[in-house]
Amino acid sequence: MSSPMEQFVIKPIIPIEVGGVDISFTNSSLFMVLAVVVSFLLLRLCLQKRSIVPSVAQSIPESIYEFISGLLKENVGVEGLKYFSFIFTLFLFVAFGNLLGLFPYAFTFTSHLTAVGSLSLIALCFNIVIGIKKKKIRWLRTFLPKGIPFALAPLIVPIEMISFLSKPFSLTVRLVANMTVGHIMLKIIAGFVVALGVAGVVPVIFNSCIVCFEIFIALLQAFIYTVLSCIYLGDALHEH
Amino acid sequence: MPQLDFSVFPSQLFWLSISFFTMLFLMSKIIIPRIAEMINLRKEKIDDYLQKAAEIKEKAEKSLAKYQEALQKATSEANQSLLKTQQDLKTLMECKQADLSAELAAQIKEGEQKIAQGKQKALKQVEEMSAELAMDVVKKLGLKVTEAQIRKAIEVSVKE
Repeated sequence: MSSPMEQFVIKPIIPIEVGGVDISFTNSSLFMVLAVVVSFLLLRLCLQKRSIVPSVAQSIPESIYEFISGLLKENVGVEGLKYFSFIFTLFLFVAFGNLLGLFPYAFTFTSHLTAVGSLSLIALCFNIVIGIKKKKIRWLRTFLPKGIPFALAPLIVPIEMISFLSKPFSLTVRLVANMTVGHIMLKIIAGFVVALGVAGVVPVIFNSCIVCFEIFIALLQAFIYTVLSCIYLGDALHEH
Repeated sequence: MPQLDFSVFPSQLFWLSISFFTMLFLMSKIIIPRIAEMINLRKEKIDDYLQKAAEIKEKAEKSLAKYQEALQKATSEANQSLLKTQQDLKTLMECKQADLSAELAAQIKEGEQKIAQGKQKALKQVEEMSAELAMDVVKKLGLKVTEAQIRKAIEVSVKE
C-alpha cells in the first residue's frame, strides 16, 4: 500500500532552471495550466450559442457571473465591480483546481501551501496596489486606524501589520488544509478496499459518498476563498 | 509532508502566476464580455418591455379616464333632458287640465242653465195643467170662479 502522502509529491516534468532558480514545469504546474484550459474551454463551449433566453449551458456561466457580481456588490459595493474579472478568475481558478484534483491520478495543486500561498500573494499584492491607488498615502492608515492615539503606534502598527498579513495566510491554510484532508481520507479509505477483499465493497460505497461530499467541499472552499478575498478587497478600499 | 516543501516555491509561484494571469486575460477579454453582453442585452430588452408596458398602461388609463368623462357627461345630459321632459310634460298636463276643467265648468254651467230652463218650463206647464184641471173641476162643481182667479191662486200656490 502506497503512502497517502504520495499523491502530493511534486515531480518535475520539464526541468527548467533560470539563474540558479528552479522553475521546472511540474505536475503541479500541469494542473494549473489544465485548470486554465479546462475552465476556459468549458465556459467557451457553454457560450457557443447565445440567446436572450438562455439555454441550460448558457445559464451556467451566467449564474456564476451573477453570483460573483452579487458577492462583490455585497462585500465591496458597486465600485467593486471594477475588479470583477479578478474575483471571477480567482473563483474559477480555485474551483477548477479543486475539482480537477478529484479525478483519479490527478494532482491537486490547491492542496499545496506554496501554490495557494502564491495565489494569496497575488491577491495580496492586488489588494495593496488598488488600496494605494485609491487612498494614496492614506493607505498607510491601514496600520494605524483613525482615533488611535499616536503614543500607541508602536504597539498598534505591528499588530495591524500581523493582522494584515495573516489574512492571506489564513486564506491559504484554510484551503490547503481542507483539500489535503479530503484527499488523504479518500486515499486511506481507498487503501482499505484492496485490504478487505470482498468486504471492500463497503469502503467503495463509503468512498463514493465521500467523493460527492468532496465535490461539494471543493466548491464550498472555492466559494469561501472568493468571499474572503472580496471582504479583504473591501477592507482595502474602505476605511473602517 | 510534501505540501510543506518550500524548495518548489519558485516554480509554483512562477507557473501559478503565468496560469493565473493567462486565465485573467482569457476571462476578461473573451469569456466575461460574452456573458456580460448577453446579460445586458437581456436586461435592456426586459427594461424595454417594461417601459412599453408602462406606456400601454398609461394609455389605457387615459382612455379609461376619457371614457369615464364621456360617461359622466352623457349621464348628466340624459338627466337634464329627462328633467326637461318631465317639466314639459308637467306644464303640458297642467295646461290640459286647466283647459279641461274650464270646459267642464262651462258644460256644467250650460247644463245647469238647461236644467233651470227645463224647470221653468215644467213649472209653467204644471201651472197650465193645474189651471185647466181646476177649471174643469170648477165647471163640474158649478162654482162661480173665474179663470183669472184660479190662475192667480195657482200662481200663489206654485210659488209657495
